[in-house]
Amino acid sequence: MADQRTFPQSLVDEDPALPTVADLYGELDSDRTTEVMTVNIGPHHPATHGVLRLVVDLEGEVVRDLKPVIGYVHTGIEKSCEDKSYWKVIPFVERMDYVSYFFQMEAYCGAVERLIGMEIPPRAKYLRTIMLELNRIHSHLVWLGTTALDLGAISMLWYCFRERDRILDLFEMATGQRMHTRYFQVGGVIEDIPLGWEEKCRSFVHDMPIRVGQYEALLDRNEVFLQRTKGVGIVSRERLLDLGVTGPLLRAAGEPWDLRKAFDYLAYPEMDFKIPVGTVGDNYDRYRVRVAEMVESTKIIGQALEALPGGPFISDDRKYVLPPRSELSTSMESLIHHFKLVTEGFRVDPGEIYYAIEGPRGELGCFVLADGSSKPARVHFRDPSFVNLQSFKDMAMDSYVADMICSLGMLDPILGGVDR
Amino acid sequence: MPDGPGLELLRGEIDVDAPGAVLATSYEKERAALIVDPARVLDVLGWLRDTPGQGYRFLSSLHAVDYLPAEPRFAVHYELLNRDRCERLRVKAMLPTEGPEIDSCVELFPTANFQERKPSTSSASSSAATPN
Repeated sequence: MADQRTFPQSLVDEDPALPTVADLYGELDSDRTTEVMTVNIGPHHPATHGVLRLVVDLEGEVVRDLKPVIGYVHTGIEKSCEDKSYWKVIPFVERMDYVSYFFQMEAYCGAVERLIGMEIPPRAKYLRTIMLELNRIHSHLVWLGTTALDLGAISMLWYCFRERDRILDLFEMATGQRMHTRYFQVGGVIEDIPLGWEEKCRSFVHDMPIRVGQYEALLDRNEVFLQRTKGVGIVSRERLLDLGVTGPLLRAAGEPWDLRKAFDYLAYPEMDFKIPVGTVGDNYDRYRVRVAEMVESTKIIGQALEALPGGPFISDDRKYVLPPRSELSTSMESLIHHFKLVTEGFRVDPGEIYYAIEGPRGELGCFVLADGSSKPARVHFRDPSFVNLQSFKDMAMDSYVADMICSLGMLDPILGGVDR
Repeated sequence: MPDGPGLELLRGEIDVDAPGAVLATSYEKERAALIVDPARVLDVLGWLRDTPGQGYRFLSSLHAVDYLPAEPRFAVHYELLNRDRCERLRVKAMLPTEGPEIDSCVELFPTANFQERKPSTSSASSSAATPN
């Protein structure tokens, strides 16, 4: 027999009356005998989006307590960095949050550049900005595809990974690698973009807003998706700020905080873009904010391509930057610089710095302590996934266990960054 | 963030309400830092958070640093942020090699809950009274 419930014509405008926990299980009172069951979800479970273990107390299907257990992919990267010369640290840090590797590189290289007082060339700033925004879209696509998959919208994964593949093609063309590119260097970027790259990137910039519209067409009228996300996992803006939550999660709760606007770095001050914000702070707003951010990132890339300045793509300070290969056969000085940089690395005067940028998940900060040697004495990352994970309990408490899985997807944690 | 003179003015204001809590200041690479008595770190953090006109209500990062071979060897860094003025300020509490311990600031900044556990396992201090 057909379901007798009637759904409104537009679920975007009106919420259906969902049965509450009290409707299904009755009001809880002290006289009622209830059994609380503790369940381990993960660490190896596709819905945990990485190696995350959740110890969940369930009363029926309702989450009564939740404890995330982390550390299963702790790699000691921060400690390992102390044993590498400055330029050899770059491939390590980009493997922390392995979905947003360009951001890790920028946080680290930007911190070292500020320690040594180096200004990078304008072209390098623009190239970095373009790569970062491509990476932001890439990261949001991975999030959207996998989270929609959690909610049963299987097709989304294939559509999102189709566009993601185009971004990876661009990365491969410019850097030689699809992931973990080691493209950013202290002083700029390792190579200029090749011929034809701009045209290919412009084609992507043209297509991407159309694709985003198609994602929205698939999800915005999908009643299952709407019922699973609207009004679910609400956390107030004040509580999120107390918990140190940043990025799309905070913006979905109505707080227009974005480090790209608040602080001056790379080419962002010259870019015209908006900060999408939500109103309720539920899982639906988190989805809407990230989707809107993809469009804004596309705008930034388009503007940066239009205004891409000429000139060098990396600093010519030979104390810190490798000389061009062509100079090695003609200049003894260049050969000595090259030898010194490759064997020992460059030295950084004693000092310490904290440099933060807006990553796809929020504030990504890098602290570097220099002791005057060619290796950093301490490297610490403030990973947004790690800090944001604190809000998960607030999102999932007293909700259905199925909604907890949805909230975890909307949290978008990358466990490589959480554990480091 | 406060510049050099602004940092000294800030120290003077804290000294009025919490005399002796700030031991020194540091301004380098255009970054301001207050070096505080670890026993009174909560006084300083609370003052910076709650005093009208200060408003450092957001704790961006909390991490420990090992300054070997210096003594005191360890430090806990609190990277504070005033989001209205887009100003960052570092509060630094130096801790000795023997018994490096500092009060938890979870009551002031709930975000410290996870972050306090990280430095205690990785390198330096243990935070007393971090909730279980």
